[in-house]
Amino acid sequence: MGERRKVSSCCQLNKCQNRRHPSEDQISQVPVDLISLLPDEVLVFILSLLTIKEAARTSVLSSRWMNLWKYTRRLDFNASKSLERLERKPEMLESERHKYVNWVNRVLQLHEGLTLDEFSLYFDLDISYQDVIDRWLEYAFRRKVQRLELNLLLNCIFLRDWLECCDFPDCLLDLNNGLSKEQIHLDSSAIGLSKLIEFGSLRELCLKGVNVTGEVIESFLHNCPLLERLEVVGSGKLVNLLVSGSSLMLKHLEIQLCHNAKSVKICDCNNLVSLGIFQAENLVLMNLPMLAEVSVGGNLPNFWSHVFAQLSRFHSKLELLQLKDYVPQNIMMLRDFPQLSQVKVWVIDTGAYYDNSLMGLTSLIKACPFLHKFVLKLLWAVPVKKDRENEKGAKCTLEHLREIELAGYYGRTSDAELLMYFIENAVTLEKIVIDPRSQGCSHLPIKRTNVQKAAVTSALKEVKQLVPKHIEVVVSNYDAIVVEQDFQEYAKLPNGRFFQSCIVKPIPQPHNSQGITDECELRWTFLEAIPEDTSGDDHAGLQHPQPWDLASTPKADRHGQSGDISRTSENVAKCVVASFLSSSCCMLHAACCLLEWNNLNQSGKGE
Amino acid sequence: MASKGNLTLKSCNGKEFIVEEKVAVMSTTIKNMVDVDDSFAQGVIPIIGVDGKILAKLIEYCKEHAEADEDEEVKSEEYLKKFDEKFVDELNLNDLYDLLKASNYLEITKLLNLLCQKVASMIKGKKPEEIRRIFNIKNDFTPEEEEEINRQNPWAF
Repeated sequence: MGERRKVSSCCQLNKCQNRRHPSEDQISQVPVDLISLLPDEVLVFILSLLTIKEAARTSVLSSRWMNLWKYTRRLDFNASKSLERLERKPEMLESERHKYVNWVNRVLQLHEGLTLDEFSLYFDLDISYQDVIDRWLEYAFRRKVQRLELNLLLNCIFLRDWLECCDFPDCLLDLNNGLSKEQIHLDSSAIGLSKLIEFGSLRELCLKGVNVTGEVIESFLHNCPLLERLEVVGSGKLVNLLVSGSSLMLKHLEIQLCHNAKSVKICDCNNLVSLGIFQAENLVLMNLPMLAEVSVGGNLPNFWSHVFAQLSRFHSKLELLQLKDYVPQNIMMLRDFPQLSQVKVWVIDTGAYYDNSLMGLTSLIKACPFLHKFVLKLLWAVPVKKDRENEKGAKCTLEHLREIELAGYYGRTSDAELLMYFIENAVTLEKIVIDPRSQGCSHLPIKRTNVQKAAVTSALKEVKQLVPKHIEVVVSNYDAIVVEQDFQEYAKLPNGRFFQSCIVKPIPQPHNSQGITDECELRWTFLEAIPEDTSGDDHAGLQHPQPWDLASTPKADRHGQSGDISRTSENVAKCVVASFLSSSCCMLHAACCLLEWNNLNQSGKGE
Repeated sequence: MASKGNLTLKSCNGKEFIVEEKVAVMSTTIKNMVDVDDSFAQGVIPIIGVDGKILAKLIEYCKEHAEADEDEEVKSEEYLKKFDEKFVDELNLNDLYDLLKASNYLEITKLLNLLCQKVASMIKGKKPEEIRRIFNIKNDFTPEEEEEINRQNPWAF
């Protein structure tokens, strides 16, 4: 919380200066409403810790509380129920949007606070709501907002085509920077804005599904001396970004899924502690003396060797490293991996395909001699288990490794050999955490067939036998596996729709010398949700498929490896996984379903 | 009289506490007094409207946090979190209100935040009727008035 501020005088300030001493009350034995005697500012502080809905609900308690909520310093417009309704009935989008906009407008009309600690909007709003968004942002900035969050993604989860995203109203910033006198004379409303809007209070800024340019971000950094956290997800207008300046307070920076980003340069940030970057063609990191936590993801050719060349400069501070690439070969093929002597926690997010060995990862672990904890998060769709010999990994003594977490453990040979590797080489291992769910959408129950669930169960029994007694074994989220008989037929998507088909259409590239296309266009088609009680024979809902574009054309870049058709389709599936990779679990879930489809198709052809 | 580096705080019912300056200045109000007027640092600082019992509680809290700020090794974040939890759990409602008022007046931001979090957690997810019962809030609305308020903000209910 920020510093306390006095509530406007129209609130009954310090109504209770002559408080009654508690002992008197105890003597009289009559319960007294002491909380209502607290000063307004304390009660408003308390209400500001609640959501806007909870705060507003206190208006009905008594006349003392009736108007207090209107001074709340936290306006979080979170309409999760409405979003849930939308998942079931997407056709309600316009009416739900209308409701949301009315709600926000109504609250802003009633709100009387002069300053805001937080202003956040979470709703599926596109460019047609630009005017509304502009007004709301102006409201927030006029009240010296400290924490601003906008999540305008599709269903607040999926990436929207950036051409349909709202723009961040950079006019707000331009005015703050000072217009020429002429312009101010021309537009009288601009005078009010430039005088009232201050960005100086901003500490946290999070923009998801909002187009914001590199220049605007830089301008924020320049104008907000207190800004500590900056997060940008899915801005199509971010092309070049330079985050630089030794005086910046910035501690946490995330730039995710800005697919048009050409160059991201982060240098001379003396306070930057954590950095999350996904997909930037040209990433430059320089002189970041405090940088201790880095999360990077990407799937561009040569991306990793480039990233590691950069990271090797910060090896003395780096304690937590997370790598995300759903094509494990990309990471395993790395040569000249720098020594990361301070890294204590290492997280790798990758894919498990066809029970292919992941032992290549072990050669990287050698680069972190002081590793305390290793976390592997595997994404997969239909698990494939092959009978093959266990591979041996690079032998080395992992002297400091205390804990490993294998998430997405299914009991494949590739899972078991990795586990054995750690048991054999990590002499001080104390704890093993096993999560049997695929890591695509870890917040949702994972539906598996009986056979698959039995496989997981026996694999977990095996783990307990394999692991020496002195090591603690924790199995997490086993209960989240739900058996679903129909699973192989229809992969259920988080929005309750059933996945029917996916068309992967190569985009012709006449200048591609290899003759293999690297980009593909995706079209997703979904069926209406099938009611839960519908039996397998009576799929009434299946007769009227309704096309629905997940994101109109997510593009995936990856080098094709050969002209072999089956190989290409495998690559396509991987491309998709990689291109959907993000902090958003649901996007991965969608990708997971695509993989499922692809795998099923392939096994159908092969056998 | 307090020795160098110590301050004497006096509660409204005459109890005196000698505390280290770094503990006392967790309160912005006291810090401002000491910064502005040197004589406070030498003499006795009266803490108006706060009795001995509450003042002792405040000092207990500030002592733990001041020490933690100084030496992270001995008192880790985890230790403080546990201390805070225990501290608020042991309070009865009357003490909670008195501490809220005192920490507001003395501007002990961390404690005020902690106490407000406690009250907020007691309100969260509860129906108005339950909230009234927990805090002995007397409903002074007529049923018609109550309905009118519900009608004004239908989205909240």
